[in-house]
Amino acid sequence: MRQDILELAAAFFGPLGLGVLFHLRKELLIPAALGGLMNRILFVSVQETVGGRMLPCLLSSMVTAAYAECLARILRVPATVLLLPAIATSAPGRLLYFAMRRLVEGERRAALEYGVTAAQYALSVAAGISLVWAAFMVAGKIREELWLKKR
Amino acid sequence: MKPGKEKAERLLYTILDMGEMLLTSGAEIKRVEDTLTRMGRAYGAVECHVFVITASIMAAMEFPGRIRVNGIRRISGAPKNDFRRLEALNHLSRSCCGSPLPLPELEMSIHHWKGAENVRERYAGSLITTGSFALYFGGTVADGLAAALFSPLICFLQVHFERFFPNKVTFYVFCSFFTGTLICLGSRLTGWFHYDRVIMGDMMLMIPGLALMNAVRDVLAGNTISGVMRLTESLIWTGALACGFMAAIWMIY
Repeated sequence: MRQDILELAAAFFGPLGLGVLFHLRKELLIPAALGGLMNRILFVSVQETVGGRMLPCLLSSMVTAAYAECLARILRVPATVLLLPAIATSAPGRLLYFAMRRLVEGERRAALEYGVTAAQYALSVAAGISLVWAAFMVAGKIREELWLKKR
Repeated sequence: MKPGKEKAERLLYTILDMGEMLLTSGAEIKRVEDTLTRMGRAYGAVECHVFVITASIMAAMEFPGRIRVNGIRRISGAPKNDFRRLEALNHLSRSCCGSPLPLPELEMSIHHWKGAENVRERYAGSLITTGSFALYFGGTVADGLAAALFSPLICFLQVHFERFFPNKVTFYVFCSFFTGTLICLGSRLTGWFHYDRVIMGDMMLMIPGLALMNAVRDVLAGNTISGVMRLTESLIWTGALACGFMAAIWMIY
């Protein structure tokens, strides 16, 4: 329980720190950090419901990307500045480290397994974000063609 | 606005400055191309062609009276990833598209954001980031504190030593090996913290997260060359990090 609370607190403060590191404006730090926390809570919730890693990761990154895109339009800022800190909680850092560690220990098979899982995990994140970006790009083009050109 | 040749050239170089700053602040290719094209049009260009890749910006503009100017800007040096600057330049371009600022004022506004990075913010951010991510990856409070303790060293190396290395790969092999060795030695001699969690936390300062994200975004937006360039560079960079840390762990344990 204590470890879970620590992990959730870290899922808030980690993205907050990244925001400070990348010189994000003070007013945007909390929304970016909340995105990171939301990403983690969603991942854990979906994983507890459906199990596995790929689907929870895909869904949580999709929701986080949609959150960043919507908020960016409201606040009139580039979506990247909100998404990067928020999506950092999806980084497969632990898996990459274990792949590296097993390689040092000479356990090639275990290293390969960890490496492949880390790659799958990273691909799910990229796919989730890409789907949302593509949807927003298409919506933007349609809006430009149908609405802005008529005015 | 109908600028003469000299004024048109001055405008082009100001716009190229803006593009360079956007690119090094963390903007994706499409944003840079769109911004420069809109800025050119806002200042009276009838034809505006901008091509951006991660390593250079090429722009050609034609103003009324067949005044043609073109310029190339080579982008070298490490990106600063400054989101405040990115946001400010984005805002400046929006306002210029609405009502263009006089050229000297535009130059001054852009010059204002050319200043040096706020290093104190960088150190503060790195302390919070590494401490939090060491906890996030399953570490104890002692691991978080240790990760935060090693982060100023990484920042110091990035701020003062990166420019002496020929490229990011060699720098990150050195940086990860050096910090990895100190972390492993510290853990082995004192036993106060787990070196693996501390490495995971500190690695967050070195992983090219923004470059990877922009690579995906560039490919999606149709800028395949830049996307592939960024992706390749980021993967080699990540590999270099892994090699440095692996060598440190192998040497100490």
